[in-house]
Amino acid sequence: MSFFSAKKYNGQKLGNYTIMELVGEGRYGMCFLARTNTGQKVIIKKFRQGIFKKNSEKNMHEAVILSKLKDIRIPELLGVINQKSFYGYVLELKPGNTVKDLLFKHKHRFSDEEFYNIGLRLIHIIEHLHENGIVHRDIRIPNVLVDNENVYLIDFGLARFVDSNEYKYDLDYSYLGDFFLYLLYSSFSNKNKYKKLPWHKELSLTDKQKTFLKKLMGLETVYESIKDVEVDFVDAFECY
Amino acid sequence: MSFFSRSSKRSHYKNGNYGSNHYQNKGGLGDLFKHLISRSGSGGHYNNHGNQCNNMPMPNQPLPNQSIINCGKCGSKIPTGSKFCLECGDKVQDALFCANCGEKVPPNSKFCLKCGNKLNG
Repeated sequence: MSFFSAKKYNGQKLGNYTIMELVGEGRYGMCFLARTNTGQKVIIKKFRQGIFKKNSEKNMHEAVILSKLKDIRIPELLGVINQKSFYGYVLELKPGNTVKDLLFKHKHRFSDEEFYNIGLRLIHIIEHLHENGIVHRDIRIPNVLVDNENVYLIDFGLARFVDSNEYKYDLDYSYLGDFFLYLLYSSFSNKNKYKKLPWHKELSLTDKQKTFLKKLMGLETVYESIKDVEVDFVDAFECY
Repeated sequence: MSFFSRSSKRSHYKNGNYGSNHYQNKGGLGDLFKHLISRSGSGGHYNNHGNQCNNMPMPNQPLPNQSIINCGKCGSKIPTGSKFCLECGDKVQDALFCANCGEKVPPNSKFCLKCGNKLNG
């Protein structure tokens, strides 16, 4: 259904931008690939009608946070479109595939080295966010892009400035643990298809690696800061 | 604590005991469900077993609902820190200083609020 509703936007001109195709969808609305008059490709994140007005207080966080963050690993906010029934943000297009596509479309198996490099780069991005007082709250496989050696974090729709009550740094840790498990399972072959075992009983991991992931997932004493996460990650996986 | 508040909080916890049948599947409807709940609530999904974490706000961060400026083009309120007016999309100028008296003037102002000097751009 969304495919057909999205198709009507193909070729539509919005100021300096022309919509090319639908590239993603969520509860917020749709993401389109578009190009500028000069041929530069961008992403237009169109908010579903009603969502923006109803939650304008919440939606402004994404614009403010992306305005604050100036980093090559994070998409830049390039503009705001508000025309008739079309409301959206213009965002910088980052290269690469999402980890979700690599896993489930391309059936990619992440090597130990790839796991380590992607993991460390992602931790560095989270460090940058936390240093700026920002918690992402949605570090999932469709929101991490990998392009050769480079890693990008996208979709700041749920990102918030940290406060001591609702939005805490540790909100990102269990997501990070979950993300790591997707990568580790890419090279796992299940011999006991009928037994439903948890990851810490299925995967072949060292004690350090298990403890690290359990701490991230909240199964053991959780981390105090992302710096501690980095130290333990390097310790557990560097020679992995 | 009421039954409902407890139950809605627990729904945000990440299950730390999934295995291959979860991580080797895209999820289908399950993924959609996860997506919906991840968008719907307060974000208190993390089971930290009562551990305290360092969650104090950074001293230099703009706080939500801090002072709000008005767009020079459409007059709408612009949340502090946004590069663009969220209503008309007009780009917010960086902080300016009056060339006449040196006073800092809010972005998109046409005149210095101290000496009344007309500002460029």
